[in-house]
Amino acid sequence: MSNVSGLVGTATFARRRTRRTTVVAGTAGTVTAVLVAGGFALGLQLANLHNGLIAASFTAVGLVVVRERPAHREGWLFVAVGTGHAVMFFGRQVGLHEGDLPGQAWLAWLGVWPLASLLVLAGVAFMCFPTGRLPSPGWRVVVGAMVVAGAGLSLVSALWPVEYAATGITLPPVIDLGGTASVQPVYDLARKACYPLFQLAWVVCLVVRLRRTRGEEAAPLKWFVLSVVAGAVAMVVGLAVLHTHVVGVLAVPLVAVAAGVAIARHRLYDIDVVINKALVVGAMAAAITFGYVLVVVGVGRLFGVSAGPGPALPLVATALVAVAFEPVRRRVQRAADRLVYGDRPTPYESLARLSTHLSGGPPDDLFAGLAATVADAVGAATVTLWVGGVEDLVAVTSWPPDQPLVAERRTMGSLEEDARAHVRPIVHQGSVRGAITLTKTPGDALSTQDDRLLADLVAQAGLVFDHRDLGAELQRRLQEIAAQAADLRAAAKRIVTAQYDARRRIERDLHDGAQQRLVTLAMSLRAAQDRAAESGEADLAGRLGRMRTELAAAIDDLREMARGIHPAILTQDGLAAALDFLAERSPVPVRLALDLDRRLASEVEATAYFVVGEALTNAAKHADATSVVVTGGLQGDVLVVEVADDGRGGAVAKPGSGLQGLADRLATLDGRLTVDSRADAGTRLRVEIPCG
Amino acid sequence: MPRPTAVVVDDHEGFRTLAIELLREVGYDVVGSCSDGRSGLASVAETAPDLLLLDVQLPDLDGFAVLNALRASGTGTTVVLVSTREAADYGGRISVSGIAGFISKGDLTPAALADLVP
Repeated sequence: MSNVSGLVGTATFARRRTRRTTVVAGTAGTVTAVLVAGGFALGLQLANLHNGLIAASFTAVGLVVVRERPAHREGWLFVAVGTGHAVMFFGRQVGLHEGDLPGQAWLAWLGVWPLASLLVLAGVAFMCFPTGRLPSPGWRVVVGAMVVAGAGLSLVSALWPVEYAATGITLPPVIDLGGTASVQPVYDLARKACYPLFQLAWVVCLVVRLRRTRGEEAAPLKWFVLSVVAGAVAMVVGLAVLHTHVVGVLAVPLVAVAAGVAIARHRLYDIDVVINKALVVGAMAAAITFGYVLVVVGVGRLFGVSAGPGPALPLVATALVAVAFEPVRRRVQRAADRLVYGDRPTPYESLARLSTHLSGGPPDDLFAGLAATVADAVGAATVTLWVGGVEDLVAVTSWPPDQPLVAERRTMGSLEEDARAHVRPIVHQGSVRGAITLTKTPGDALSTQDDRLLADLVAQAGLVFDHRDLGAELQRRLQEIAAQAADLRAAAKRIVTAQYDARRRIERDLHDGAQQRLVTLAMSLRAAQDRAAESGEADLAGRLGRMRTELAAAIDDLREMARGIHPAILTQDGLAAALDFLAERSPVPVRLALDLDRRLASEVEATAYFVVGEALTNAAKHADATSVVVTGGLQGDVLVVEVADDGRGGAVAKPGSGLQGLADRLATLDGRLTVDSRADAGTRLRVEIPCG
Repeated sequence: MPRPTAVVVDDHEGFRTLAIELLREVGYDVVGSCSDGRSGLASVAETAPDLLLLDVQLPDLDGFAVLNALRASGTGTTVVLVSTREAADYGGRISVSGIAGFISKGDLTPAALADLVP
């Protein structure tokens, strides 16, 4: 119960804080916008321009940061600097405005005294960049001194008479404590001492932070320092050449812009996407406005056409803008991507690339693709992909591709011992499947955003492993199936071969056994018949003679049967002789042209023989053929035999038919039987049997 | 005048007995009776018979191999091949073997033998 109420309390607090953040940020933004817009509405004052620009730029960058990271101090510091400058800018615009304005003197007063405090505030904002905190606790003393000095100077300034030389505005002190004249030298001295010291303080702080910082903060700081140096150069050049500080102070907004770019490029505070979109929208708005104005005003003037009241030019402009919108948007988006993400791919692109790698290619390519994607995504100097469990990891690929692979096996612990390497275990379905290790160039660290993207990619890496495992499993299954198919084919071939062997044995057994005995019996009968005839037993001789005739017929039948089972001539003399024998005995005249100069495997010869035998039987029995042509020979390592008759055609290899049985036997030898038997066009059988 | 001599080579004993009777019946003096090709060759070499009644199917060398060996040895023995099969079952080999003739065992009679070996 207490847990629930605690959660509710936390949620309520969070909502309240969010609402308060919105109100404060919204108010600051509105005040800045109104004051800056109002100030510029009063005219352009070069001496005050920098304050307006500082107000707009710091408030804008600060609000963007606050929107994404309300708890981050840096955003609020920027908003405070910007809003403070907006107040001062407006006050000075009023003070410099020629002509009377209501409350002009008081508003002009607002343009003067906050200066010291704002210098301190801006200094603190710079000193805290980008973490929102000072580099070390020791700097609190410096900041404390600055705040006291800035507040003191602002307080004194607030009590001082205000004078705007350009407009002649003078304002007596709000609270006249007197003694201004006596304090004047001290005040002047304090100002001259403190203002440079404020600048010095944050510059020193920045240098110290830059020297101390390694990793994530270093890169954005460089951008920041670059802008400060640019501002300093502008100030020096302005003072030396143009004798004015205006150029220098005009460069101050650059600091805010640099901070914004640094924040975006290095994905601080996760606002890269917001800034990216803001850049695109801003640039598109500018492009549309520019295009519209160019057409309506520029073309109108060029050809002397008035912009109004006719709708022609605005319509043309609208159409042109509409046509140009998408191509321009694409270019702007590319430019924004380049600005925000540099040469590295956006997180979306990184994940999309990985998904492209996942969608195809062999497993090795997947690993290489994963390593390359990770390297691109986080700007790694090297990436290595390891496969295996926590205690046994093997490097399978690395990036850059020419980098040699680590040969020895490693443990997760030993990988993590390398101080330069960032190690991320690849966990899939609850178990460690491998690891990704990466290094960055010295001084370049893995940012929070990089880390998050890396986590996303590593999570996807599990899928790569799954994909690879599935691919390997599929490959294994396919190999199993192929092996089984090969085994089956071999078994079928063995069965067919064994069948032929069995038939050959039966034929031989018939020949050596029954036939031999019957022949001997016939010879004995003949001898007995001769003796009976010699001894005048004509009746017995006649009876023995009839028995011999019957026996001879039985022997013939048995011989035919043995031939049908497996012709001896095929075993002894091969296919050509056996087909010759078949052709001679065929009732339909056969023209045989077989070009075969060597013996083939017994199962090949037997299959070809029985196919031709079946074809000749069909030609005689069913096709009413008057002639048959048998041709054949070896074509490479394939025995090709064709049997063509001139019969009625229409033959098909029906299931259970002799042809189908032969086709099945052929299949066991990887052979093929084709039957071309159109009605009244004869039948052409073609047998192809590999003999290699 | 001495009787012509003959050797019978066949792996079937019953056939050999009948063949020997038949040969004697037609006037031959059977000087050898063998059950395989090698012993047949040895018998021919030893006895130099006038006639060799040779079965085609033998357990070691077949009849054609025995014939080739005889050709190689230059023997003048007349050879008649016999088999339970018919001549057609041996394709063209019978016709090119240079023998006196072939008789299917079922057709082996004194007359058939006399036709081949007058």
